[in-house]
Amino acid sequence: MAQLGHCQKPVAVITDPNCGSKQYQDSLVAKYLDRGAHTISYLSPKWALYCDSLIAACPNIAYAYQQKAMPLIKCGDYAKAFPLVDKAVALDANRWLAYRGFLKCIFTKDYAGAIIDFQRVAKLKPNGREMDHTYAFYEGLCEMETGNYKRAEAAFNYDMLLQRGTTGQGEIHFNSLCYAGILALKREQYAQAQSYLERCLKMYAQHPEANYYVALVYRAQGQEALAMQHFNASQRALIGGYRLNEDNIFYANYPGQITEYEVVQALKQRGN
Amino acid sequence: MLRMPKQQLRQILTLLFLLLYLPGHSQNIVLPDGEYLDTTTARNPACAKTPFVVYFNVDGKYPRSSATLVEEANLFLRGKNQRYTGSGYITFRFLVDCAGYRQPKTEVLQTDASYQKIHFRKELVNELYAFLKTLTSWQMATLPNGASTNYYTYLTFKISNGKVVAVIP
Repeated sequence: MAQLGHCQKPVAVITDPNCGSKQYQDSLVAKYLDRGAHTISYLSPKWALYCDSLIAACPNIAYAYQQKAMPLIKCGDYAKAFPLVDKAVALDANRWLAYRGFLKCIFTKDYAGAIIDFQRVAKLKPNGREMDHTYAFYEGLCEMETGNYKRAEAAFNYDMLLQRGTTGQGEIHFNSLCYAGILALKREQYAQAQSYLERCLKMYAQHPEANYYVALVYRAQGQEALAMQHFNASQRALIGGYRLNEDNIFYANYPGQITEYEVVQALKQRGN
Repeated sequence: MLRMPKQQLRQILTLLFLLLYLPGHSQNIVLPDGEYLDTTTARNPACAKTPFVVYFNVDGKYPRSSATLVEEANLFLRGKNQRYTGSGYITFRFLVDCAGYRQPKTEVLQTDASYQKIHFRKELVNELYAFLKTLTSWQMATLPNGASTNYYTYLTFKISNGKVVAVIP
C-alpha cells in the first residue's frame, strides 16, 4: 500500500481526433488495460502508469479514471481516488454514477452523498443494478444508517418489488431480506424482523449477520434459548469462514456487519 | 555568576514556552511519499523473510465491527475531556507483521468530507493515533500455502463535527 502513493498525474495531452470513436477507444483500452494493467497486480505502481498512458492517449475514456481510482479507494487514499471517480462520472454518468454512489455508501460511509448519486442514476436507469443490487437497496442502507427508518423501509420495499419483477415471482436476495430484518429490529417491529431474518436464513442458513440479528430479536422478546441457539450459529459460521457474501466485504465492512467479537459479547450477556 | 539581561531572559522564556507548547500543533513528518506520524521501522527478525501483502488478500480487517470501533474510539476521545472540531476523514496506514503486531511506521492522510486534502487539528489526530495504538488484536495472516505474511492495512476515522461517526474498513 505504501507504494500506492506514487501515482502520476495525467500528462497534458493533445486530443487525438479519433478519441471520439468507440472502436478506437476500445482498441486503446485493450492495449493499455486488457494487455497492460490487467496483466499485473493493481497494487503495482505500474498500474497507474498504464492508466495514465490511456488517459494521455484519450482523456475522455471514463474507464481509465475508474481503473486508476480503484486501488486507491481500497487503500484509503480518498484525496487521490475521488477526483478520478468524479472525472469518470463526468465523462460517463450512465456507467459510473451508481459506482460512485456505491463507494460512498459502502466505503466512505458518505450516506447523504450516496443517496444523491443513487437518486440521480435511478432517473437515468430506473432498473439499473450496481454490484448485484438495485439502487433502492443502497438507498435503503444509507437511510437506515442515518436513522431515517421510514425512508429506509420504503427503499427496501421498492428494492424487493424490483427483484420480484413484473411476474412477481423473482427471488429476493438474501441480503435484502437480512437488511429489511435489521431495519425492523431497529424499529422494534420484532415479528416483522423475525419473519425477514428467518426467510434470509432459509436461503442461507449460515448467514452470520442474519443469525446474530435474529438472536437479538429473540432476546428482545425474552426467548433466550432461541437467542443463544442463533448466537452460537452465528459464531460457528464466522469461525467457519462464512460471511454475508458480498464481493466487497474484503475491502470494507457493510452496514451492520459483525465479527466474532460482537457475538462473543452478546453471548456473555446471557441472563442479563 | 553570569547575569542575563531581562530582555534576553524574556526571549529565552518565550522560546522555551513555544518549544513546550508547539509539539501539539507541529507538522507531521513529511517524506516524499507521504506524511507520517512515526517513521520508525522496527522489523521483527522472525518476519524479515516473509512476504508483504495487503489486508484484503488475507482477510486482515481489524476483528471488530465498525460500530464497535466507533463506540470505542468515541469513548477514548471522551476520556480526554477535550472538544474536537472538524469533519472529514483521518486515515492511518501501517504494516502488521507476520506475528500480528502493528508496526510503528504510520502514514497519515487527511481530507475534508468532500475528499479534499486538509489538516485536522493535531490534537484530534494525535488522540486517534493514540487510540489506534490501543488496538492490539490485529490478526496473524497466512497465505493460501500456509505461510505467514506481513500485511499493509489502514484504518480510517470518519469525523463529523469532531466526533467519530464511522470507522473504515
